Amino acid sequence: MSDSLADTLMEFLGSLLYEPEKAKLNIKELPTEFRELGEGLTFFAQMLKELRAFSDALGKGNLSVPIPSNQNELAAPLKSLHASLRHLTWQSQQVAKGDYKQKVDFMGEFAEAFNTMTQQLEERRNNLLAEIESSRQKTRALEQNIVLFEALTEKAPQWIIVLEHETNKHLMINQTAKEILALKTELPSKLLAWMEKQISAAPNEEVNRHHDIAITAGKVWYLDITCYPLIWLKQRATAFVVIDMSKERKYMQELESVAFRDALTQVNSRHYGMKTLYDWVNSKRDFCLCFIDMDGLKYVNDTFGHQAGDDYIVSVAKILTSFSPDAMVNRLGGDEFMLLQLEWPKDKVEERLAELRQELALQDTGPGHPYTRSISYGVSHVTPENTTDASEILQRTDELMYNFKRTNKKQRLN
Amino acid sequence: MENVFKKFQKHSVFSWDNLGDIKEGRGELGEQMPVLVYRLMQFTMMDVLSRDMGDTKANDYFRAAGQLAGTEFAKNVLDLKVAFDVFIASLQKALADLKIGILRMENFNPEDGSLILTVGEDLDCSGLPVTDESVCTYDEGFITGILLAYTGKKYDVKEIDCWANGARVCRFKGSVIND
Repeated sequence: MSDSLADTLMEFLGSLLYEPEKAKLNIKELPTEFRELGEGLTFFAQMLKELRAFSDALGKGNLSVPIPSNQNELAAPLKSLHASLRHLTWQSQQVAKGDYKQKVDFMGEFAEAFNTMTQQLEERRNNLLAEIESSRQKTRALEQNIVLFEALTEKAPQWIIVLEHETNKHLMINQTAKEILALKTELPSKLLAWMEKQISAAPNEEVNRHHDIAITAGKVWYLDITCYPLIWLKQRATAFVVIDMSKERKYMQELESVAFRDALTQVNSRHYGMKTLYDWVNSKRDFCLCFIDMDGLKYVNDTFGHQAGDDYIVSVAKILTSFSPDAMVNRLGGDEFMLLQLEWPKDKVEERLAELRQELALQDTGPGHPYTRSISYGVSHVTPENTTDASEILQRTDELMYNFKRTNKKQRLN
Repeated sequence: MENVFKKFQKHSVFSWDNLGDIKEGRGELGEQMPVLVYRLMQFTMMDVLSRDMGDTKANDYFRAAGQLAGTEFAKNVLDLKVAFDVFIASLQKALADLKIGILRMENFNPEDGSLILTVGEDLDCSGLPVTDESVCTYDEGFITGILLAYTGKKYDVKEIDCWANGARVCRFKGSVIND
């Protein structure tokens, strides 16, 4: 029996190790004195079975497995590991939710790596939060600046219009611009169309200034427009600051008129005429220079008064203006005129002047003003090959004019 | 003659203030004492109560005392107005600082409020010889009291597992009692 019992127990232990599903010990078949040992072995087998099932599940990463009974001290280390892994799962879920205070206190190097990771995550989050806070402060400051900007610009004389890039929505329009955009002319639509074109053409350009933008809407508006690309309350936009230069432009035209026009006759002034003469000589143009002097102006002034003299001057200017469509007529002062004609031969010029002289002589000088209007003139042809300077050409032509006048006077006297 | 000024102040009625100024009272010995002394009182009391009224009743009293302690501990030591995760983190820290045990959350179901947690190096039972008995009834009550104070809900907390691994580790499951 003892040999047989030893074989039975040995077989049971072997099965426990290598074929646990077949391990079975029938306690009732054991001798009485061995039955308690049998019960002990069976309990041990049960503990071993639990442990095997538990460790198999843990090995596969299954943490939801039923845990061995609290009597199973063999399983205690694995149960401790199981609890730690479950806690680790909880901690990872907390980290995923942003709780970086979680610290792992087991598993050596893993714990060190995990705790370093959560520490770094927390540092990064804190840095991000600091950046976000900084951005918020900047945004708040920008918003406050925009409020201040609106308050400052509301009454500004410039027209200030802020357009959003995507939809061209009006983000801000100051009072002056509102009044302009309310005009019942084409100006508002043309101006906004110009602005939208700027945005679509170069939305990210630096500050851009445009001078003398001319918009015709009833009258011609001359505008200086500065474009400021910017971020307006998180939207890409451009602020247009418009200065109406129309009055300044008109004033400039008046100033030019004073400088370049003869006030009495409205032909070009001496200043403008001399400038043109020098330009044409220097740029080697082909033209004729005519020096024209009115005959008898002093007599008319002395005899019939200065008004009659002025009428005489105006009539000469007028008839010289009819010389040709592109002739440039200039009053040099008093009774002297200069006429410049591009690319006409000298004889044709002299012929035309003779015609005009004839027409002038036929003019009615008004009741009580019995005199004959007449001019004397000298003509010089200036070619591109000319090497004589302008003042000398002028002097030469002046002499030709005097020769003409003298000859003419002799003829009248004879 | 009765002291009319202190007639409502009894040590048989618990209050946090009646725990006294330990630092002041124990200037030489300090606020710490060995776990041995705590357990000496706990297990002699359990012995006396069990012999007088049976194990079940004695455990009921221990659980009830634990709940009172847990509630007062939560009210006086913890911030009850923070989010659940923050509360658990502060509870873990408080239990470790006071050397009550190492709390580890395993699971929390926000839908029904149920949870599973373990307490390692438990003050009551770590290192005890393993028997078939459940010895953590005071802990069950203590956790119940804390959850009641924080959630305002009654919890049934049971020790579902207890094992030795050098130090004893206890696993508790808490479920909300729906009245």
